Amino acid sequence: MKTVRIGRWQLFLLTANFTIGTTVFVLLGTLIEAGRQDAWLIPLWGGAFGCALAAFWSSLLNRYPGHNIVGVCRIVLGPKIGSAVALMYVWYCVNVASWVTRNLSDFLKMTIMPHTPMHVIHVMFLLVAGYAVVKGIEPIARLMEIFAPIMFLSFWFVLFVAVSPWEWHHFRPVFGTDLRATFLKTVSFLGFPFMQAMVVTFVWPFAGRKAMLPFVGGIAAAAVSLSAIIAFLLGIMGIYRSSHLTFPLFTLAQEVEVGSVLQHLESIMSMIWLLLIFSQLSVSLFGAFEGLREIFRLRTRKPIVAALILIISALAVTIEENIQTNLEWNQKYTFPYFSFLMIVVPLVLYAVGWIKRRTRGKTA
Amino acid sequence: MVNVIMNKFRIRRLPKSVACAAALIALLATAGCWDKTEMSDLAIVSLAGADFDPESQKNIIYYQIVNPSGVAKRRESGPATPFYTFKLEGNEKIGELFTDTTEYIPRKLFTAHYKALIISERLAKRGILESIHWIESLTDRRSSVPVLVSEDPLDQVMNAFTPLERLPGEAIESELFITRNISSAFGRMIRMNNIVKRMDSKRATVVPIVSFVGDPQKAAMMDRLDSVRGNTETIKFDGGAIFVRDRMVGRLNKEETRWYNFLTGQTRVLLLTLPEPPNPIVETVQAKVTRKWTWNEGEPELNIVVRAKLSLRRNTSFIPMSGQTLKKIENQFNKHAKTETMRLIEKWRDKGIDLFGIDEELKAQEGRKWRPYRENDEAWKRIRIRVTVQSQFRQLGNMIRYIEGGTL
Repeated sequence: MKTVRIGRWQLFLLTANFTIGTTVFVLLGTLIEAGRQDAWLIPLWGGAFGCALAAFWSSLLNRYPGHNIVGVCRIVLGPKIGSAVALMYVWYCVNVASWVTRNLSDFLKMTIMPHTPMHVIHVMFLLVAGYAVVKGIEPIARLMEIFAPIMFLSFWFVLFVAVSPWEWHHFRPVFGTDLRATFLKTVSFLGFPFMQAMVVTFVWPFAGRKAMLPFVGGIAAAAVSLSAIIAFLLGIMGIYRSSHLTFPLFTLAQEVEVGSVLQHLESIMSMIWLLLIFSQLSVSLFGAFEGLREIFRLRTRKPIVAALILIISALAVTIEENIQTNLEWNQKYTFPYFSFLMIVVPLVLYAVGWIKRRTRGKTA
Repeated sequence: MVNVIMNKFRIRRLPKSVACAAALIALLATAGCWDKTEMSDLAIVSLAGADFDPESQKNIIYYQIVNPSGVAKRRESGPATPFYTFKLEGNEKIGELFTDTTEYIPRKLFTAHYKALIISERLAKRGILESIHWIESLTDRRSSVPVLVSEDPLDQVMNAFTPLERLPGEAIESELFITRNISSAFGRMIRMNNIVKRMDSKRATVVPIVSFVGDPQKAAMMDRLDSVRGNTETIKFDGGAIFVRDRMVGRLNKEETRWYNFLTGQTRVLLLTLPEPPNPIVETVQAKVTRKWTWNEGEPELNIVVRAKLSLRRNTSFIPMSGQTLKKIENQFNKHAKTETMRLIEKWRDKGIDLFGIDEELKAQEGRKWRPYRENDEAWKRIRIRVTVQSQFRQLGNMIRYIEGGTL
């Protein structure tokens, strides 16, 4: 059987796109409201935290080559307890996929397709992502490799075209806000999207031994990109307006007007976002599937992915009432919820693994 | 034949149940059908208006809907009017009032490309927060639409025809954007999103004022388009309405509007007749207005520097041409521009209106010594302002020597 491998560049793109994913549309207004003129700093400190955490996860996974976090749980904690803990990661992937799917339908219903039922949007998108997962991680990674440059160029083209109302005083006084208070207000941002990036580690067994650098680099690139996007929003739209809009980036693209020729560029933004969501959804669906496959030693793909699609499409409807409740939930619970799975459990795994190795070494 | 192709490409025949399921799933791919839009189902809005009647406490809205057969080449039969104006009034809020269109027209309102929003002066003075929310809350409307204030009853302005352009919306758009290189009557920051952007600031936004000229009774008649009189029974621009946050707080006359647009960098063109003999008509062909904050004698100071390249190409007065005369005119321009700038700033600062965003800039200053000024909301009124104007003739027009008239 052919060994599936993804390249370092592909892993970098997968990580960066996964981290930018829904953040770029859902969270920007909230961040600008919290950080005001210094909001562009928030992704930078979030990214620094994310990179440190990613390095920690990488060092944990590198100790068990060929295994993802589910495999590590089973090796370190034994098949029973390990599988129970690993199931939490599978659930987490399902959870992320549901959020992403719901974010997508919220966006589409609010902007382009107000009359299309939410369920149809969920099922359609999940079917596409599910098909990609059935075909394996390679097609998903290749797709990102093909589309990422196009997405990058068209995204920044739209922002640069919209730059004419730029005003520098929106950034001043620099560091004029209470940075400590801003940090405390945006702790949830460390969770979503930076801790969430752990889902990408499910592709670790396919990424070869030197996966740490592209993984950490992807998170860093996403942080810098988010910071730059916030800076553009601040410079062009100002603090007040960008923090009052649900999808400020969409509005920004909508209002681009270069003469009477170049107008209404929001469709470009929407397409980019659909591709970003595709990467996020397919990777989290892949994570859930890989987790289940490893725990239950499954050999078939299609029935499992079909079942996951059914669960996620239903969960996406009930996971939040609306975007406001989603943002409030995110503010309150994301950090503690994600911390448990992304910091506490990996630390325990690290410690138990270390103790086990030492004990084994002494016995030997 | 089908079998041959299938054998050639090794395509297996699907079981009927699988084929049915595939077809049903493929139907889902037509998700867009829920939101399908046919051109013939749309009523394309070209211009919108909002008003409030304080006596009846009713909201009034207007919209002009394009009549495709009227805009297209004129036909022998069928309605020839290029648009219809609908007026809706009621005690409901604006958002609800707009949905009442279904009582009059069998189409869906399409507001993605309307060209301008005209607000009556009485509503502008009362506050346009509701209109702002109406535009911002739905993504099928753009906030980048220009806002105009009508000093005449909106009924007249919304029912007026315009010469050359058959749709007033198109006429307004052309007027605002095509003439920008010729005149400084209109700035760039006249859109709804400019007003919204400054909602947390004292900084004013100036939008054009429109009025109606001519006999209101004749205005709505199509016959008017057959008249050769271009500037009667139509709409006309005159001055600017000053908005601070969502309210109109004053108005600039035509001259002040031009200076405002020039000094805020919204236009590089300024045409003016200098008050001193030989009263030349001077035009700026290139200009840059910069502002610099300095600290002078223990007090902050705002330095406004105007650098302009001048032209005489629109001049119609006699000038005895020489390098010395041109230097004299440059000095006259510098003096005049300085006086006008100071007059405009001080006039509105005395009224408590921050036309030039002095407060906003003061609050953006960095460093500890600026702190008392940043934290004082009234500090911008006391700031010392220094204006420097530097100009130089670059274009003289087609007359190197002017013609001397009178008797020999």
